Amino acid sequence: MRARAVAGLAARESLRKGAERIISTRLQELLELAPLALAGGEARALHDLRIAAKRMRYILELTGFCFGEHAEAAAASARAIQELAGAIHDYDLLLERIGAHATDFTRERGQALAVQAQGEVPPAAERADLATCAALGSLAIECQAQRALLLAQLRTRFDEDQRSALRRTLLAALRTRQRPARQGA
Amino acid sequence: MARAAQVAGLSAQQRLCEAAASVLEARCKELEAHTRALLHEGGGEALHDVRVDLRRLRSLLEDFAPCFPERARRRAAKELKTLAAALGVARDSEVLEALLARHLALSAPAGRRALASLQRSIKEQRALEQQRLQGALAQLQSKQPTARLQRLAKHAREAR
Repeated sequence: MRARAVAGLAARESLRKGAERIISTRLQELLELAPLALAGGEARALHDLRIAAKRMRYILELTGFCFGEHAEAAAASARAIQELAGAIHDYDLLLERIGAHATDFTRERGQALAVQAQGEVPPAAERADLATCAALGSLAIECQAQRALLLAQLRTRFDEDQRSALRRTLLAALRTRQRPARQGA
Repeated sequence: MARAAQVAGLSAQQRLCEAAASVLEARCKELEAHTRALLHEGGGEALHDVRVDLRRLRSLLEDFAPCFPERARRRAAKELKTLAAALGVARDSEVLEALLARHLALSAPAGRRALASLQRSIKEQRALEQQRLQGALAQLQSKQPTARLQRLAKHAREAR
């Protein structure tokens, strides 16, 4: 997902002014992507949400010193969103892999059954096949359950209150008028 | 995930492009250091660090776009994206292996035995991705993306 261009950003303006524009744009992106990603829990939409949270986190970590402690809280929030979405992505990867493995196994099992029909499958091999079927099924169910739990946690973090808190926190941060700040000085 | 090192000397009133140049130079140094660690370690945390560096650099080029010449910026961003994708596949297979191992550790011995073929195939995939990673690392060294990025930083510093 390509990042949205930051409207009005000018090379000659101050870091603080420019950072305000960038943060506002990235916040808008994040808030627009969230409803679809959280409602459906679809992998692609969650991926986009994770990238948007990452962009938000990076700019806040870089320029947060211009805006005070609120920006730090918002960066932590963006990080939590990114990490939860990342953990869901990891389960998506594993589920995809289990699916591919199950497809291969089903084909092999079909061949074994064809041989079995001729009375040539030893009982031990039959038991091993059935154990593998059960174990793959159990693992897939466990992964789906873990994924659902993570998605529920992500929704909770991002529900209406949290979302407005993130927005309020950031707007408060952007309005904070501090004396000229220096980082790492 | 590691937090990027703070960039010394940044100030809120500083000119945007001057700040962008300082950050770009600092992030290049981090990328170079992490790339050296990755060449030494071959994966794990070093691989993760390099991927994060590439992601942070891309974000920087996107966020501070007006500070850089557009064509050169786009080319650099594309190069970073290609490198990140190559490293990402290797990282995914590491994550997959670790996640499965975590589940297997909680399974009964019979379940572990039954899933041995899945575990084996993931290990084989990881070994294959490790070989491909070497190709991506060679690319990272030969293309010298940081030299291109340093030129962009110089341009940003001189931008009026």
